[in-house]
Amino acid sequence: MTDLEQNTKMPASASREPTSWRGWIERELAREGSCISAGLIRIFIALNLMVRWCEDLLLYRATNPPLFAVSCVFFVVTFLMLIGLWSRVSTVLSALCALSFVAYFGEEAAHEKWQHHHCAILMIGTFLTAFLPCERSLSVDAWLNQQKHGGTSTHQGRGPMWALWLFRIQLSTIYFWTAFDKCYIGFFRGDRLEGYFRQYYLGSDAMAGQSWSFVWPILSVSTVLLEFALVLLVIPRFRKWLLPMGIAMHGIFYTFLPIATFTTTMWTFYVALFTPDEVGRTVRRLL
Amino acid sequence: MRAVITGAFLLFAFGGAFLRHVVGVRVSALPKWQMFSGKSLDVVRAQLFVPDGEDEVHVAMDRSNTKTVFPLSPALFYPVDLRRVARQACHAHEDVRAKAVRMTKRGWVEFEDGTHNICGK
Repeated sequence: MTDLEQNTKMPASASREPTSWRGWIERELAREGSCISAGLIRIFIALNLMVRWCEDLLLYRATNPPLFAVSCVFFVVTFLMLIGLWSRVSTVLSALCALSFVAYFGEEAAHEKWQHHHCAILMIGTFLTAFLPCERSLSVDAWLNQQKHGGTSTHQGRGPMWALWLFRIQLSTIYFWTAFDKCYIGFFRGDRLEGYFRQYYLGSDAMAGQSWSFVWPILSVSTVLLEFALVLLVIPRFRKWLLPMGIAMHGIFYTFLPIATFTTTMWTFYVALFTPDEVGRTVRRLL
Repeated sequence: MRAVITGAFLLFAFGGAFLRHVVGVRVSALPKWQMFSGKSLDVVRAQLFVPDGEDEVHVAMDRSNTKTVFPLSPALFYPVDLRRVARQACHAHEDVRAKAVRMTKRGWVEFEDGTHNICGK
């Protein structure tokens, strides 16, 4: 972070209040802001990629030459993405690796674990990160750039942040469709949540009729309502109320269910809900 | 260009999921944010049965169907009420093609050939 970064003002066009939808869209697409949130997202996504796939991709596990080759590339590019060296290129290559895991090795080669939507959202998140100026902050690229110009970054730590809207669209879409898909009597009756509980905690020998069986329908309906509500997370005025609930909901999933990186990926997406300058100010305060 | 990318992504994320979730287009490139749907739940339930004289519950399912609709074994999720399963057995489809399987204590499904996973094995 440089002094320039801290002192740079928002462009005048970005601060004007638009009078129409078209003006609002144009303003959002032209909006610039601190790149710290882009750097954070890049780092978190890279860590998620590593946690999700590194163990599965250990070289001795590669059962065929294509998987071996992609594994080698994956280890290199995710490390580069993490430290922010050739950030855009390494992010795109990481995304292509993830795409191959989900679309080819997952679907075509029937690697069932990689077909999960946990992997799909991580793959999409990696692609979206490539649209952010993720090399301009919290990266080796930014440091090298600063050194090259005698301690003054030409990037000034700011850049076009329109791609945060892609993350927001993705968040809303996920919540809407997961809630939509749960709208059937089997879920509302609590069967699915009860099934999870039996699968992971009780075993399927546990019979129905427990005195607390009323809990499942309540939890199920609450989950659907909350997920429909979380569609509105992208609207700033609702963020204050919905964000803690969203964080808590994913925290519960993370604690009780083997959902791997899904929770941490969603929390990473939450960074995009804040304006870049909010994130920038907060991180600067923390550092 | 930014507007085009944003519009295209909106179309992919929302429209693609609409095709997959509502219309039922099964193209893996389209986003799908759940591993199940109400329709598949009904189908799978209708195919559960309890053989006479067995202490342990056995279930049967159409492997080809569940592989298409369900990436995971549905019995992992829906052994919820064994009595209900038994009742549904009376209405089970006659053309169940899968072999009998045993549902273990932890909810895993064990096929007659010893495999434990419905997909990819």
